[in-house]
Amino acid sequence: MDILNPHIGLIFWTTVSFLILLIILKKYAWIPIISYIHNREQFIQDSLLKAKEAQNEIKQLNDNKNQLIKEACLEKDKIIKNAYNISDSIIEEANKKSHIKFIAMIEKAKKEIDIYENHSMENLKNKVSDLSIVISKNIIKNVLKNEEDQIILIEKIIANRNFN
Amino acid sequence: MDNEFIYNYYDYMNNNLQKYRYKLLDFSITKNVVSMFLSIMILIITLLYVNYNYKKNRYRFINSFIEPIIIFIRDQIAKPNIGIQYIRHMPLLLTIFFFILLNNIIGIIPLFPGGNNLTGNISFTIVLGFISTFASIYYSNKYFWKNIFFPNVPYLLYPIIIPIELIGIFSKALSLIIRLFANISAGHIIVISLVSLIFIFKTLIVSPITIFFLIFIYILELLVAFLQAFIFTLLTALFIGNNANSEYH
Repeated sequence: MDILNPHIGLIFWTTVSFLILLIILKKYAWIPIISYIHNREQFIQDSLLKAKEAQNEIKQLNDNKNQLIKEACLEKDKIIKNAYNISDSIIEEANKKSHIKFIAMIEKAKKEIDIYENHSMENLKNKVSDLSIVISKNIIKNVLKNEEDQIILIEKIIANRNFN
Repeated sequence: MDNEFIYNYYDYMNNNLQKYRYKLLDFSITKNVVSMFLSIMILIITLLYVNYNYKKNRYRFINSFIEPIIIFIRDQIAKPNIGIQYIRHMPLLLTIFFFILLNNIIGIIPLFPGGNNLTGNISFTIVLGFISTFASIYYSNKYFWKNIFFPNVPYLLYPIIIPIELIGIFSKALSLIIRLFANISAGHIIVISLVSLIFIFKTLIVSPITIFFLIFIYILELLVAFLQAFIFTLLTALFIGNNANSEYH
């Protein structure tokens, strides 16, 4: 049963070499490798967290943007409604004003037309009277060519008039 | 007369040599020791190269082979069994795992780098088992010793409990030693027996059966090589964690 007998030489060499291996690997291999892996995992976790935060920020920004767009749409509608109302009122006012002006202008025109009519009527009367005088003068000249006729006329006129 | 004297002298010397054989300390560099040095060289060179690659921020095949094992030992063995202070014990666990694994694989290979069964040798497993036991005792807290020497039982039971607890420490080490030794040497004994079938039956007709079963056993031994390295590391972590986090009960 040689296989079950511990051999002191192998025990010694195994102990020494295992301890040396442990010290060397601990200092030059395991601690740097483990710290490197740990750092990389932390870096990955940190960047994942940052990416999540960035996503949340983008979501918030999007929500804000949508809210702003909604508010802007509502304001736009309000402004357009107001503008319609204002334009309607302006048009009504303008209509009223123009109506008043129109009536005033018509009255003025009527007055002016009356004035001109009166003027023209007077002128016409004057001219007609002038013409009638001329015509009557001519007629009288034609009629009263003879002295006899004149006398007859004078007599008639005197006859018509009453001397009271 | 002469002949008889020579014969007697030879017999005497032989008997004395047999007697002194176990009394002298034999520190000769045997085949097993050379194999162990070789495995240590391979481990140091490989892992320093891995570390160098990490420092240079470049990735080689060997890095992607070593890194999952390190992460597996950290996440599946060290963290659940040891707890918060797992990072302190990682170098020991990793060294034990890779040392046993490499020596198991070298033991399987029949040609030059291998050819000798180091992990199937009880001297080797004794050293590893006692190192892991010493580590678990070294990192234990005060309640570990209190549980052994002042357990929370009636005083009449102390003569029974204290020896049982003390034996328990060594039985844990013994279980580690025997498990690794028996698993590895059992595989090699099966291989020897299967090869010996040809010589026992004195015919080549049995060789296909031998080869078929040899391939099967070699694959099984490869599995066992990984499995035993894993179990040894797991139990070391378990003992360290038990002793470091023990509570008075």
